[in-house]
Amino acid sequence: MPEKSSVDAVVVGAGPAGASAALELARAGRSVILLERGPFPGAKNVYGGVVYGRVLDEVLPGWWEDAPVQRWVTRRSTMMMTPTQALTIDFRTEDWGNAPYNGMTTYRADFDAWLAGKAVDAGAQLVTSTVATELLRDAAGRVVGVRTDRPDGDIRAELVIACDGVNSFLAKQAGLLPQTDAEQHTLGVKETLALPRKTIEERFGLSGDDGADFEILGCTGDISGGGFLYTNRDTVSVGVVLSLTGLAKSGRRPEEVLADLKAHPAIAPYLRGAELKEYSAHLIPEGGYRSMPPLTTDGLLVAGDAAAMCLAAGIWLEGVNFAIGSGLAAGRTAAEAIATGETSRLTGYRKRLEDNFVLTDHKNLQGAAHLVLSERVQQQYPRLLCDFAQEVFTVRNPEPKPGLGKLFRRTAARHGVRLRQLAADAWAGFRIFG
Amino acid sequence: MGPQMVVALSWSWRRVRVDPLTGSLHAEDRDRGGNAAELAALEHALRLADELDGRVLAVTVGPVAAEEILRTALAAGAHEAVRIDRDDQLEPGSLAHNGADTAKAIASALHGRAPDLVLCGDRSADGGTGTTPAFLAARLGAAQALGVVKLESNGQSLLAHRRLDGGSREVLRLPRPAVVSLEAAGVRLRRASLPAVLAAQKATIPAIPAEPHRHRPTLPARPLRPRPRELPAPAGATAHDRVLELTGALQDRTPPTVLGPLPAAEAVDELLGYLHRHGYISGETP
Repeated sequence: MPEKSSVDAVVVGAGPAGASAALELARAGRSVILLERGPFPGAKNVYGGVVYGRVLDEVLPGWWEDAPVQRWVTRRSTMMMTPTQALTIDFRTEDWGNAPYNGMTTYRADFDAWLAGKAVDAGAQLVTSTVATELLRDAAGRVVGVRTDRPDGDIRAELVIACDGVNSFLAKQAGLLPQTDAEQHTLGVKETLALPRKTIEERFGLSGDDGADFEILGCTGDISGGGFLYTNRDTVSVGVVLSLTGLAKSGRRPEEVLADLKAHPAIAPYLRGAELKEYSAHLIPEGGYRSMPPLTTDGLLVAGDAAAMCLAAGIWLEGVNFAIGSGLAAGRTAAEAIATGETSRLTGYRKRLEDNFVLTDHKNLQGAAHLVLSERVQQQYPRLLCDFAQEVFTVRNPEPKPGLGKLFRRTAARHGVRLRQLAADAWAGFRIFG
Repeated sequence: MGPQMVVALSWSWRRVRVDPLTGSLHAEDRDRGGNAAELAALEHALRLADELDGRVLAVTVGPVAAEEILRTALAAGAHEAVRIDRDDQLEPGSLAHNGADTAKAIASALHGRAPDLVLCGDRSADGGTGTTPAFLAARLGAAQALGVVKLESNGQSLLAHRRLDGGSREVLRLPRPAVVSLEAAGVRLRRASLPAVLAAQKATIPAIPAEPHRHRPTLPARPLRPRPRELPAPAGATAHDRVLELTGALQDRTPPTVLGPLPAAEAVDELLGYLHRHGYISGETP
């Protein structure tokens, strides 16, 4: 006899946020259904970065023992580009290659399935290939469950946690997110390219399970955005993140921008002879703190990309760890609310996020997106810095070496950069990142 | 009481990467599962069970993870499920030859039951030999129908619509027991209700231990190359004599004869006459 579909909580979306929320609820002894649209968690994900696992230490001690790691990131480079130049700040440390590790590259299809598996082990019920189509409300308008696309697919629940990604239909239906908001989103496009493991290690200067992560500025032409290149075990992922409105205005296709990056003289040698395995694209909520929706309504919590928790702050581009952090907070809040019967008052969720890195970082870095996506940081400064470096390192004997200050002022003038504006941006950057 | 039906669902590797240098095989665990034809077979069984008050047993041969496909079957409406506990290795010999072993395992698990129908997909996603239904029919002493695209009942008999070449169809009246290989042919498994999915997740699925997989030699990756024929060393005193001896030059021999083109009957007569003249056959030429 089929059981009645009624549980303490239903979590929609088995990505990092959803799996973390379900894990917390299940561990608190609550009945929870974790709904996933794809045939398995991670099936429809695109991966475009590095997972920073520190957030898992508390809930999954020793997580690195069985997490599906491709490589541990021990080399982190920030690259500024013009079409013919590249200036790289290259950092590497052996410390990140040892437990407890700093960051790892991983395939989301593996990572999400692994994390959702932990939730299932804790007692959550994972239901795949099922879409939550709408919120169920009671007569007072309170959210009391979700309707799915399966026959008899209504699930009644004390609380719903929406972790249904960047284009969260549930958050939109609840009136928490606007229906369209192109300004606050970017488009990430990525290619996964296969190369022999030995070749990757030789080209990137790696050994063993060490990995490299390059973040790139100035590689997207007249479109605001950035690029990335990182190593997996026997593939490399290269991609660009493009402002949606900038992309539309430019009339260019995203794969053209990516092709330009791949052909850049600083990138092409890393990719020579690689075989294309996958091309993928995904929206990224980069609006940050200022674009975050209200995080709760009566009977509903929103976490992960659905709540715009992705941190895009120039030198930091992090999403999965913020999704996990917000999912854990949502799960804990929901478990407490169900235990006390106060499922309408969910203010503890925001407090929890403010007490940990999720909202603290977002709040501190709230101006970063505006600064990083500005025309000066995107276009002028990479050109200025690359030209300045070229001037510094060009040897013109027997002409005497110029003073660096004079050289910088001359280069800035040539690029139309006013030193006053540069100082203002530096001060703004210091206030944001300092 | 309606027909007792068994649906054989495979736990195949649906995506296998072959290393072009070593020939070794690699696959992800999450890429394992059934295929569209098997799910179509399940749907046909469920439709017949609904119509004729029959019962459907879903069976698979695989590790614990293979219970996933059985739970899919239970959620869709199968009455019971059995897993035969065996985890085939991902290696060419196993993929090429496991039809016989799989059929043996399923037939053993059905011992004591007398299914009217055993429904299979036309072939698995990995080995793809399509031999399991034939071996199964042999072991169960059942009739076999291949290439079936539709199953129906006309009140007295079960009818199987077979796909033939050139877009033709034929309709078979199935005896019982029968093993039927179905093609996907536009039939998709019904979408299970949410309560049924949840109930299936908690269902207990009995596991029957299977005999260990019989080891079979792996097929060579290169084309078959006959062994060299051993010849006695030439006995000539000079190099010239030895070369002549080895090549057979300047010796009496029967020159090759080209016949034809001839009608088949005359070509046979010529061939038989040749064999007779040279002593390969004796007696009267037929």
